[in-house]
Amino acid sequence: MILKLMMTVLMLGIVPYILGLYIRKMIPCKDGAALHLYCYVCGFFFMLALFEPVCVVASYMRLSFNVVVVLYSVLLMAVVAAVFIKEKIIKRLKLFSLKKTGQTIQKLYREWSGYEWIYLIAFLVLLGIQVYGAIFYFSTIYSVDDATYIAIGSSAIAKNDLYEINPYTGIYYPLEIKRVFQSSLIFYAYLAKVINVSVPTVAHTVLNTVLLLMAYCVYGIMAKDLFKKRDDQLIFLIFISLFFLFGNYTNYSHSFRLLATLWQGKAILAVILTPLLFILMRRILSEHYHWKYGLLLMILSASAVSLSLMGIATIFFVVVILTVLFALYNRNCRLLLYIIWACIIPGVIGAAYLLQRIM
Amino acid sequence: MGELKEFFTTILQTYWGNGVYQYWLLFAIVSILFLERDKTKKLTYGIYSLLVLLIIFSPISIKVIELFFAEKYTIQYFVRLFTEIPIMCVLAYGLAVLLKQSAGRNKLLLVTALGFAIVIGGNGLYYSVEWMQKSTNLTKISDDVIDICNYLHNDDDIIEVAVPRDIASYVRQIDASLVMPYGRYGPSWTDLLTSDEPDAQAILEKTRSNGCDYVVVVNSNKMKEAFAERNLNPECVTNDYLVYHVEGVSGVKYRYNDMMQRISVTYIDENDNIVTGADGYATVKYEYDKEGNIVKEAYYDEKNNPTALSLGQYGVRRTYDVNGMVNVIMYLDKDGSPMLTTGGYYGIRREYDDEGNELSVTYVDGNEVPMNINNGYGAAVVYEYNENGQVEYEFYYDKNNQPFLIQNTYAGVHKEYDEKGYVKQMTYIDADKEPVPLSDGYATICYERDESGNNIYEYYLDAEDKPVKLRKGHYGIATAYDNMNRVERVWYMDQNRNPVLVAGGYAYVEYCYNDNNTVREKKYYDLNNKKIEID
Repeated sequence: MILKLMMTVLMLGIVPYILGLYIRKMIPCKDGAALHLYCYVCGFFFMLALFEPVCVVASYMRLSFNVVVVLYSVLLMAVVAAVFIKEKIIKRLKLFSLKKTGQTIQKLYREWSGYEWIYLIAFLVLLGIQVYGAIFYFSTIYSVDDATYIAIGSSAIAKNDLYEINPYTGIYYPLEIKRVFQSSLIFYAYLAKVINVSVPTVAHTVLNTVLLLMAYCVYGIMAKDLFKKRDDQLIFLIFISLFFLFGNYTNYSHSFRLLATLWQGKAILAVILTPLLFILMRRILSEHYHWKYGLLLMILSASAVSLSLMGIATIFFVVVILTVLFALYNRNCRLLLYIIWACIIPGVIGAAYLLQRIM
Repeated sequence: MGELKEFFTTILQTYWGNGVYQYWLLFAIVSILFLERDKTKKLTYGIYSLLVLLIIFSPISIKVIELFFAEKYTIQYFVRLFTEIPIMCVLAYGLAVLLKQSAGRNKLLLVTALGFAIVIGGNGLYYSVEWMQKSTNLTKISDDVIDICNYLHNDDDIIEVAVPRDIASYVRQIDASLVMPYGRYGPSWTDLLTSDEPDAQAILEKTRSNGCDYVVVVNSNKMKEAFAERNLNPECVTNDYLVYHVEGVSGVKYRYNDMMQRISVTYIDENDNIVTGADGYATVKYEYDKEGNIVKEAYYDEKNNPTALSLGQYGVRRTYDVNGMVNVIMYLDKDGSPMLTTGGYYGIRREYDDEGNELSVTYVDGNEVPMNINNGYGAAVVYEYNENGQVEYEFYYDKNNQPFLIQNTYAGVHKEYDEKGYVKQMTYIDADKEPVPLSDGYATICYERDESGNNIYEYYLDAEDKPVKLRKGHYGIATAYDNMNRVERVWYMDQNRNPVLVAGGYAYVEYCYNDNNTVREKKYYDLNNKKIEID
């Protein structure tokens, strides 16, 4: 159990953060605390983006799931090693010394007003309820899509296949192009294999909780991005928590996505990646064009497609519309280059998918 | 216009339900647009949200979505577009920006008041719906399913199991080594597994005929009694379900290779002995190509010796076109070589259009060259489709690709359909699509159908669309069906649709059936309902 917990922390806590450090120069943020959150969240999407080509190529080459596990692990280790060497990470870890953390808390205690503490406690209670729900509650009806999503992952482990077994029946079926690009399904199997738990456990409990916290990391960054004053930031977080907790107007709501089916690709897109893109796009588009931001958008777009083909629509809507709006507002056509960066991967995959549908 | 309005109302209703959240969103957008001073924030959260709403409610979007996706899913695709707005972020931002100017106690009071408004106007996920429940384990899948899977798991053998529809989605998430005959939706017969009036025999027959080793049924006393009557006891009992081994009835047994491709199907009787099935073989074995297509099938008898089917073939070889459609079926002899079937051909070649409609069927020899078959139907049938994808014309050709006259009369048929898609008229035509009368005088048969599509009346027209009296002495035939949709009576009718005596001295025929639905007896009656004996 301890080993499983350690592996969970490693794979879904430390590794995403380290990967985030690798691409941190692409992140348009200089604020220390927010940068850590950015690194963690962007690092997770970088993990997915790295998995996409490995899994798609392996699927088309009819390689086995175990080959993907080995290839991706080697790739991850190589990137992590590169960060360790390049970033002198051991030195950075000193930033997290207990002494320093204690000092920061003392400083906060002195600086924060009574109202800010009230807002913080209120937010933490609301967040706590959601985390409790993520760990212990479950949708008994509306998780039937998992008959496809989770069963593909479970099958990868049980039968060592990549999308070649019908998730419903367990019998061979030909590769379905739509599924192959949705590599997150196999990514869950990868996590299950390395953490050594079942795919349903990874998706329904581990990722459900980790992704909820990740979503609130994004909302935290957003709060900091939108408001200067601490109380406004906390009020934003209180409101967003309340809206999620009491916003189950239908089963298409964001509330449903965050609190009932967060492990599913569509939900991650709706409640984590889209808000993250909003924050990043506003910052990126307020600065001069730089290719490093284009690269970041490319990474995020690859991860969007790996989650769901709806990711193509997400990239189209968020990146294209915001870029055009800002290019018009700033009268800066160079910003439109970001559309190319962001749309290359979804464009190719979308064209392949539509071509297959039309043919 | 009215249709469009209804469509957009449906989208709003489907996505937002009956709550007040859409008004919260509009309020938040207005709040951002008017109270936020930073123009980039206004642009990102306010203008963008408005633009996406405009796109969602634009008729052009409907056309784009319909162009690329199936029409029946349009609403579903549309409501998903709302997720392109980070709605909760916009809502929270819109409210928080409203309070930016206040401070201290007033701000706290306003936050509390707005918080209450959100709670009162909303639906809490953890308490307002029944389906959000506390889980008993970390997989978040019911303990019943886990217990069933643990019981059935077998590392050495492939286990095939039928389960009730309500747990069909979960079984393979827990144990992907189990094989199921259906997925999350399940066919109608799965209702038997949860029935209040259980029929163990029907359950066993259905599951065995689908190759199942085990069946999971609802845990009820009636169900237990039904199986106990057949001397079967549950092998695993959970709170809500019972697991039985499927035995004591005839059915099929599947075998798979390592890639989970089905490599054989064998018919077995109630004692697990191999028997010959209705198809004329005991076992059929399959071979696959790299793409996973079945390229060869071979038939075997009960002693595992090659056996021949109705056309004399011991097997078939299939080749596929670039779209994965079966292109050529070649019938094989005992040695696996192409053979002349009793139908008078070696194989059949099919061609398809881009929509997968069959364009032509050609009978071929062992070298896949077209050949005339010996039953007078030429070498090929070519189809033309109407705009609804229905076969409108079919034409017959000989091996040299010249029009072929069937019975030396017609070169094709023309079909017309009613609004439900049933053939309402069939006309025999020449190569120029002109009607040609058959030897009985008619060129066209017209059909009238009941709600189920059964042909209840047919009558005949000549090439000038005038009613024709057939040689037998009738102008039309009326048919009645029993509650199992089997033909019950056939009346011969005159021009005014009144029963008429035909050659043989009878006016109508009554059909009697065996239990297996084959015709046991035909009874002939005259106009006075008097039974007539016919040799």
